[in-house]
Amino acid sequence: MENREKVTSLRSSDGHIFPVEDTVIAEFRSIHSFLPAAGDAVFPISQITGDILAKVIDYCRKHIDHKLNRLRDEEITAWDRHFVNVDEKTLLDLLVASHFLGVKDLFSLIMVSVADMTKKKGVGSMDQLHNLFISNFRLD
Amino acid sequence: MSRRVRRKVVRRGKEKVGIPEIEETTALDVKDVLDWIKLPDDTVIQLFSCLNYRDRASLSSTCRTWWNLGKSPCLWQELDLRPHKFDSAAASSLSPMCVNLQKLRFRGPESADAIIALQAKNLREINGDYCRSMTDATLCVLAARHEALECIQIGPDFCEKISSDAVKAIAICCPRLRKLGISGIQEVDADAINALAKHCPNLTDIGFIDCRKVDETSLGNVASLRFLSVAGTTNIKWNLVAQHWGKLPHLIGLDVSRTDISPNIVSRLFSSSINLKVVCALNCQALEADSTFISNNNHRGKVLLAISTDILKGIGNLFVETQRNDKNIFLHRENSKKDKKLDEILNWLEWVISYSLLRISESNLPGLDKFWLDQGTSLLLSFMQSTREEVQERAATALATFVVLDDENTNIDTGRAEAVMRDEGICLLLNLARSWREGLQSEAAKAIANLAVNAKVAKAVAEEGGISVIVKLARSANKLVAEEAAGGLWNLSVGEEYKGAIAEAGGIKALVDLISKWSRCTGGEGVLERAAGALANLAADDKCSIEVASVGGIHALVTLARNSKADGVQEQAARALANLAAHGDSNGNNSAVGQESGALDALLQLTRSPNDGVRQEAAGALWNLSFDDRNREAIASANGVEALVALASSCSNSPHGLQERAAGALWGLSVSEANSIAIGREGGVPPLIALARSDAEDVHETAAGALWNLAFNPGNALRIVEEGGVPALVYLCSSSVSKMARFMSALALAYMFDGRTDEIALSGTQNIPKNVNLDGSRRMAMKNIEAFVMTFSDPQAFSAAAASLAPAALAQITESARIQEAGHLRCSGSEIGRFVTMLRNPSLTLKSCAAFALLQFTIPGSKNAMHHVSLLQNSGASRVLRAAAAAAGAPLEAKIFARIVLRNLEQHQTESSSL
Repeated sequence: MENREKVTSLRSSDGHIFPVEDTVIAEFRSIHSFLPAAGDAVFPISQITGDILAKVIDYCRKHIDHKLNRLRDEEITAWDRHFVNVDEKTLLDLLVASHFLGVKDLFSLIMVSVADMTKKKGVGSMDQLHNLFISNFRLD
Repeated sequence: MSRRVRRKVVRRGKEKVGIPEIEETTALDVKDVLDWIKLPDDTVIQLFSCLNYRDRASLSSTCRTWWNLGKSPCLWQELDLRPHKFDSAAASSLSPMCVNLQKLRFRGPESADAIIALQAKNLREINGDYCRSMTDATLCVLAARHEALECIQIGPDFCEKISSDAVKAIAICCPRLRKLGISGIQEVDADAINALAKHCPNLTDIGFIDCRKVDETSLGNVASLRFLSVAGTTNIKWNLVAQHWGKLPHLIGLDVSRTDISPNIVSRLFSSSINLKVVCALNCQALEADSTFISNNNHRGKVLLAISTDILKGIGNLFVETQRNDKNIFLHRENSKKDKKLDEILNWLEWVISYSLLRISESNLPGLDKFWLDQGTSLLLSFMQSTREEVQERAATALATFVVLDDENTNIDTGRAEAVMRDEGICLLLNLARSWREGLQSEAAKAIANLAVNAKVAKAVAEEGGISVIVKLARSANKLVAEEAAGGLWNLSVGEEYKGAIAEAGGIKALVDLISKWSRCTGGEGVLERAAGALANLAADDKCSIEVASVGGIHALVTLARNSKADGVQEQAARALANLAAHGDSNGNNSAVGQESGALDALLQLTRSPNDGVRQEAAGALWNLSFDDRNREAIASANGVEALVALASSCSNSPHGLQERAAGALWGLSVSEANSIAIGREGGVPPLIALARSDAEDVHETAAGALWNLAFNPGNALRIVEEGGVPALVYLCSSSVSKMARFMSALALAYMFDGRTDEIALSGTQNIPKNVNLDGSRRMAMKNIEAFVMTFSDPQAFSAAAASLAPAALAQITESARIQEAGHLRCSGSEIGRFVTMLRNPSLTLKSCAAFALLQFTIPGSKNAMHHVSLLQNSGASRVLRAAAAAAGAPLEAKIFARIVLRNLEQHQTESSSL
């Protein structure tokens, strides 16, 4: 299917090039309007690393498949559950990426997981976070 | 970061191709891994909005930026104070955040009083429940200080202290009012309603629910009204209603559920009102009686909703142009979303119907079974999927309520529970329980808890992964959520099936933590009772009981038993301790409970409680604890004898469970002779004799057991005779249903009349009252002992055995004579010695009885057989036994029993030598 569709190339912060179909680009609500027309020069996404961008694109493709009824409801929920089952760093990166690209569904999906993640933290780990922030915000 | 999560990540990283291996991280360089700071501000705010207040607070305490973000007005538009203790101090500390607060939910009149201190001038909506004692003054001040109020809802309790004056004050103070709902007012008079009509031009929705009296005529003046509910309100003059409400120009929906409206009035309203679309009349007797009227659903496009109409179809008909008929309109609202008017009607219907269903389920009226099964359940389940939290909550509460038939005996309706299951209700409830909204969590947990009384539902809950969901809720810091979740675990832990699953999901630790946490605060009785109840159930399982102990449960439960003032909590804490101590053979919990400081004192204190249940469980715990020698003596030295004798004397009219345990605890204590002497001295004999006369077999066993132990001491034996214990024991020995009770009372009688009592009597150390006829009693006792032993002898089998002495024949006799429970009895050396001496007693009856007793105590494979055998061997009893087996004058059964005991001894010997 990819061959017939128009393709835009995105470059991640670490230099990976991702050819992306326009249907997927359309899911990137916050940037799709000012992306150059397909076939033009590679568009840099300097805020997002390759592994994360790959995941976001993967997510969009799967959900387009779902919208086109190529995937059943329970398949996509299972896929989603699997998708968010990653470490905390990846989750946060995904959150930032989906926010930056404006992928709304992904953003809400990740948000719930991140919220769960913060809930799990007891007082001790909150203190850790706290220290971390103090060291980072000493200058503000 | 929890260790478990990290490990999982590493494993998954290896599985997946194309994703770089995730490094093992340590807490120290969290910075490199979790760069929270890079989250944009609006993302952080969204993150906050997914969390409850407590998590928000801890998150915003991490840094200054997040602290400021946490104060963003958009996060402080709604406040749900229901689970919190809310006073003016709390209110003033919250007030800087509440400038833009729009919506507030609270519980109880104390909270209502404190709301003013929030200084939330822009409040649009308040919603209060449990406000039975809320006064006019409070409500007037609320209205006066919050002029922007658009929506006021107070209920569902009967707010009897609120009067028309408050309604009038609301009308004058809150000109923007759109919705007013108050329940249980005595009277809403014309003055108040006219004020509403005059001052509140936007008032579209009124609910005067469950009121005593409402002025019908003036309601006709509130021209802006679109929706009106007078559900449950009494004394309505329907003629005035038909006359005036029909003229309300914008009235679309009218709710007259649970009133005495008649078909005639409904038709008149339908014909006179222009815009009226739907009349909701659930459970109106006068309407239901007229089935032709109900079934005639042709009211010119207007719809009547009643118990016996198809409610969903009726509502569907309202929107016939836009809606496909076969779908549940509440679940498929895509179309109505576009049409604001439709949406409004559906929202209102959802609200009034869920309200009425809740009230109907609460009153548990008969005759509604068919309604609940046919449509009530599916209505509630569709309301649970509403977009509005209040409706979802109310539907879950109604689900929790309508399955319960009988609160006292936790009896639930199987048909209804299964109807909930059939429509995937369990899945829906678990989804609500998984949501982050605590109001939903608690109501869903309550519904699951109630439904889980049904075994099939419990199974479904377990299969849908519900146990871990409930355990997760039990860790909630929210009191209401934790309480209902603990209740769920209590109900789920009744059977054996789910104890393991609960333990595996971390439930035991969660429950113990709940107890430790809430026993430090006031107002946690509900949580504590349920958590202790759940632990009590879990502790009945050997494995779980070990875990309870290992996570500090013993300390928590003892503290609870010691400090709690509530009966229910005390009862469950004592029950939990009793169950923990019930595994004396397999783990060390029994002695651990006894050694926990203050445990025995607390339990003894509880035996003085005025509540039967508390006394019963405390006595049960002491009974179980007394199986451990050290605990037994500790109980005695903590004045346990006095306490337990007092308990036994005071429970003659109490439930059998209490009587059983009171006698049981004395039985346990009396194992040592010093204690039994003390029990006799403290006056324990008469109450035990009284209990022996009980008509419950469980009481027979423990009373007989205690008297048997007491009778070992000749002084006590005399007392028993003196207090009329012989007839009581004879009664037990001859006619109790329980074999154990008959056995032990026979042994008690044997102790009393084997001669030692006479020695005491003769030596004159104790005065025998004149009226005691020792000889007469002895004759009666002997006769009954003999009769008792004879019931276990089959002459035919005996003569066969006597002829052959073949092992098979002896084994057959053993089997038929065996009293299963007697295997649990454990005798001391002196007791065994006494039976051996009895073998040489001139009385033939006592000879047989002693042989019979020794037979019971030495049956191979029973719990204490080895112990008894070694006692017998050490005392050189074989010689006596051989003599008894060979004695010419002895009765046949005595000889055979003695022979069997000898054989048991040999068998044990070969067994132990082969080991």
